[in-house]
Amino acid sequence: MGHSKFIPSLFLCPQIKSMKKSYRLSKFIIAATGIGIALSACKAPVPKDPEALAEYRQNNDKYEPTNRKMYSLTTKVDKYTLRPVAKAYVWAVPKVVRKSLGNMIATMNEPVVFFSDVGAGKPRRAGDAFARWCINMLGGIGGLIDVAKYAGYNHHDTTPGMTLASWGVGSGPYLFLPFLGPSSFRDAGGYAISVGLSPWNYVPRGYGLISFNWSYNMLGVISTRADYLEAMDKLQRDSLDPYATIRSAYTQQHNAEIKALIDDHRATTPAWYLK
Amino acid sequence: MKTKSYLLISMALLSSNFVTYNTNFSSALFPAAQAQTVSYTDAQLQKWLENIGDRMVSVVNSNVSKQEQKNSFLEILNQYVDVDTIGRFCLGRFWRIATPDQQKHYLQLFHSVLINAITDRLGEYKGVSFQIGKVSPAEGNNRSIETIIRRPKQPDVTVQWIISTSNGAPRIVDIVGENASLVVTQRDDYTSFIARNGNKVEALLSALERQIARHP
Repeated sequence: MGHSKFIPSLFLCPQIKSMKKSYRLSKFIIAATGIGIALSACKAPVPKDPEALAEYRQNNDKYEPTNRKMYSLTTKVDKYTLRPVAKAYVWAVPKVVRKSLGNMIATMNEPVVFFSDVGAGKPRRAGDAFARWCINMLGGIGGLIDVAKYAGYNHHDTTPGMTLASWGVGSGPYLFLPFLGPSSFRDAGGYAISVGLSPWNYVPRGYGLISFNWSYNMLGVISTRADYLEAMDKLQRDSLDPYATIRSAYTQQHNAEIKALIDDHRATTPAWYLK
Repeated sequence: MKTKSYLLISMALLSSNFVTYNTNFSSALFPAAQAQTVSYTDAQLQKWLENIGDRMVSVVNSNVSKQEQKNSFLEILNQYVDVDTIGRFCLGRFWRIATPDQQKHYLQLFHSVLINAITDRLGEYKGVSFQIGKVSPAEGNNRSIETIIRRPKQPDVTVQWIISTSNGAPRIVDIVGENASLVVTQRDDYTSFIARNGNKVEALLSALERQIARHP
């Protein structure tokens, strides 16, 4: 799942990043959310005033009351658990090391990006992800150094949810998933697929590999949270309704990402060959 | 890293949802824009923005006091940014519900909130430089100029400046950073806040007042 997503800004700070789905919390969270929504799904009343109705449609947030509960639950729990841990991580681990670990996490996610690009029928993007995986795993010492960037293969994110969108699957109502952040029905489904696409869930269950898997997952969660520390603090401090701000920015950015995916028509044949 | 891949995205074309959104946006912002012919060439606008950018950078990198920086930015803001239009848009559907007094009060508060938010962040931009990119058409006869903002030890950020020339001289009417529009995000924050406080514009005004009072 993507890890470098930026929320805009309240006022001139293009760097505020969004609280974003942590890499991979276990699948049951999704299932639990699904059940949670089914049980407690209170829908927001549909407004009658035409302008309010337009806004309601625009927000695409039928389950707003439930989503808001999930949001406040997440921020409350986060305040006493993940946020302090992420702060400690930033305090204890030097920036260079954090950057390398971040690179590793991104590289380890390249298979998911690759399959999503293939699914969307975008050979150049898939090729980029594939080349990044090979170069960084070999030349970048297991992904710790982003060598591929210097070879001209920049990082990009494609999630299975975006692939579904490129097939024309509608997003369904907006969802705020507990501990995973902003999403939608489609993207929650995409998230489940991405768990299935990640090769790390198929490695033989030897003791060492289980340890690797656990530490990789935990690290992914902490590192991602650490990336958004300042941004989330700012957002919660500066916006009057942080929930709505996150929803708005997430929707705008996600739509732009999907559009970028759909509009990527780069030819597979190199330009020099066509001449 | 990632910013590069989004260089060509313009907000105006996001999704079908978004097109409606932005159409409303442009007609709300520039009712008379359709009739106007734009008399600035792309190169002129680039030059214009570069000028403003240079001024901003020199303020950010100068060693004058915070208050002086704030004053210089206020001057730039008043001269080149259409703060009233942005503020009006950020109030969304509640602009028309608001009484003229509330509108006036709101715009005053909005100016203060905006300048506070900018001056708060100037420190983060120390050593900043920028590069002007291409100009593309945006919604409602506006044009979007792409810039890459470079800061020491930080990833580059792509920012689009939405420029309106409908009132003669060019003015900045929106800033799109990492694919999210400043005014759209801010509007969604404000309107949602008002809606959750009994649709009362007064609630927003007092919240903004508190925000300003809290500001050091």
